[in-house]
Amino acid sequence: MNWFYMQAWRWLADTTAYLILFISVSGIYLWYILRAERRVGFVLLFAGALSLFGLAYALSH
Amino acid sequence: MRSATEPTAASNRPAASRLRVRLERWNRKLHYYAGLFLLFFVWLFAVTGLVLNHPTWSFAESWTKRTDTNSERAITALGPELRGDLAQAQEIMRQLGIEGEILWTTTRTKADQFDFSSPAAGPLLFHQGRFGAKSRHPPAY
Repeated sequence: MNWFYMQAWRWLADTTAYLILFISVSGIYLWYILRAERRVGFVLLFAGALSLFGLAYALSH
Repeated sequence: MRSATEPTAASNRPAASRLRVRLERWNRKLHYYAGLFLLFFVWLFAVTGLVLNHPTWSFAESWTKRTDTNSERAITALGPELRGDLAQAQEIMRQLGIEGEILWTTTRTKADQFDFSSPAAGPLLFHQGRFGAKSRHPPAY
């Protein structure tokens, strides 16, 4: 990484990734304290995980 | 504690205000539900982006942990009717029983060496100066 624009892009990409991780974790906390949304939330979380791993499995086989 | 997505006392409000409250409630629900469903996808992109951005991180380093394997397989000599690198690569793959897309054939730096790659078999390297052929199979991790 010796070009200024590449360094800037790298910094921006890192910042974006860390920010996404932070807002998703804080979002999980904010969702979890809403008891009324907990059950449907867990169902969607499970459905999302299943979709991701199902997709990964299908692509790797 | 009342949920942020539960209805508020909208019955005694004007219609426009009720619509706004209803839209806000559904917007919150959509935000929660879509976010929860896509959570692992988002994490996948964030983590893979970080790993791609930091190839020197030790846990992401795979090249130093590779195992090289080499094998030699004999093939019949390629005839003059096979014009071009693509046709020759297809014939070599047919003889080796490999099926799949041929990604590239590189410019030959040596007249007796032929390199090409297929996702089904990894990088292949053939020396064509003799009757047989030598193939180098991809490293196994």
